[in-house]
Amino acid sequence: MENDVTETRIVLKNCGKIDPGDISTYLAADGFKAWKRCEEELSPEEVIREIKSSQLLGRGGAGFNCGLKWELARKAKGEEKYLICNADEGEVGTFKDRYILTCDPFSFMEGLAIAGYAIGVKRAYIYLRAEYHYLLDTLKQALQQVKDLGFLKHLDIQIVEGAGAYVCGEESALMESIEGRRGEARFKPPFPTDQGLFNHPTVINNVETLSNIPQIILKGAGWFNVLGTGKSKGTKVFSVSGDVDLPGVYEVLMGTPIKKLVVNLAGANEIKAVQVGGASGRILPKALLDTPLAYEQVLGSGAVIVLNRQRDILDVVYRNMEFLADESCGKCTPCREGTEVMMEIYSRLVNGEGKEEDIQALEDLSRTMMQASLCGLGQSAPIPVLDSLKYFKDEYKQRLAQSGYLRTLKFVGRA
Amino acid sequence: MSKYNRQDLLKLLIQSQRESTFLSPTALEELSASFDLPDNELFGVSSFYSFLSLKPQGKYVIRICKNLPCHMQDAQLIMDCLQNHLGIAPGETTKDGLFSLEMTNCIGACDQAPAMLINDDVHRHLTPEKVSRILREYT
Repeated sequence: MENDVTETRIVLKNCGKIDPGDISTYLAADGFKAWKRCEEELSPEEVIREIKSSQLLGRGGAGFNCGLKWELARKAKGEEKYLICNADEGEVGTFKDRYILTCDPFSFMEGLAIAGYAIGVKRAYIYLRAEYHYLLDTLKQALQQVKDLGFLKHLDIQIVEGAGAYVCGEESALMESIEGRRGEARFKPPFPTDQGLFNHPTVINNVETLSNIPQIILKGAGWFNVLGTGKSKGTKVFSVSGDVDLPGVYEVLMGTPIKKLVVNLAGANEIKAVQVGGASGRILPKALLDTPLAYEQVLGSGAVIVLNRQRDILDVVYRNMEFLADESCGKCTPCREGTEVMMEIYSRLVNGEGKEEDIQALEDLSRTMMQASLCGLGQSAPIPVLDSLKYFKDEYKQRLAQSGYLRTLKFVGRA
Repeated sequence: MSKYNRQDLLKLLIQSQRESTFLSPTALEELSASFDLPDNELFGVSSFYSFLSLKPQGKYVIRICKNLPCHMQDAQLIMDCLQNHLGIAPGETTKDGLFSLEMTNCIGACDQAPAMLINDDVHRHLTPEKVSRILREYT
């Protein structure tokens, strides 16, 4: 167990084995067998039942039950419905979808074909972030090959490109962007499954979620729902970066301890803390490295950034807050102003100009933002603030003491 | 009646920028007429997205990632190095109109940090030596 370096590859099973430019290699690896099975043997309701009983939860970070989402959209009133694949991964430290799209652009497209059939939609969009424009040709080529083989007679898939906005990974902002507007989050309800894209019922699934679908259909929900933990079934694809010898993409069973991922697989040493879930992710100290990676504990989009003992936690939170303030869409006040004020406070703290009352201000602001922000960006922005205050209070105290000392020096200088 | 569908706006803004490095007032006026949308609506959308620019840009736009994983691998050193080579600060364009320099948010290359985009190409595992070599390739 100490040196266990095994991965469990479901989503990544074809990566490095098939040629992303040649669909015949995907077909040789059981590609589109799941789709054929749906088309020939299963009704849309049966497909939904299978996905529901697999207990697959959304891999974008929010963790909503995938089959339930499909069912809600299928049962929603209206003829026109839409399906969107969210390929806008912009979370700091996340690059797993880039890896999936580069190495196996077919699995998620098969997932789209199946989802389209199950939900009853005729039009799907793949929303690709501008930063990944270099993947567009791979995707277009793969899509053409899938079409040419007649797997998409029921579904028209279009690729839409973003133009640089982190918040467009949030589903309602993403839909605004596809509609040709500023990517600002919408009020919920109504939820997308009732009124989504162009106000029609819409399902938005992450690349990784969709990549799981073919395997679940082929091997059955009963194969999938025994993997992982009580609530988190299957595997999760993680992006590991920061202070590790082997940064990269790893797929492990849900419930795997953080330690196995960052130490055994990615080769981290002298760990001080690990941030799980990107800029607004949890910051866990070394003592909590046995925490299992699962929805019940800590997961997010799968970004894992390792910080070694030379890293300054306040600097880390400051960097992240700068990012969040930058990317806040500006629609709601708690997030727009909150991230900005927090950034100011951290800027003062790291520059030795912090004050005692800053800590209280951070705590108060955190509460307001978590309760009152419109979307996940503002709601989760305080998470690293609160974690760092909880686990690394000493660093704050030290900074404040230094700040006080610096102020006396300045005073002496002026006198 | 508008000539285009609202949902094509972002696509056409991107296309227009690809043709002339930025969204000129003339281009925006034309699009505003074609979409039958007020100027402020066009400005609102154009100014929201970080890859759209309302001022002229260089032929090559260098976007260097400033977020945590790149920062931890000395992205600042690469930034300084680019500034030295090009003689411009972030947000500026070289006099010959060849390069613009921008700080950007995560480009999803954290496993290959520090990283940057030059137009649509990603450059990974940057070092000062590598930066000089890459810049030469573009000049």
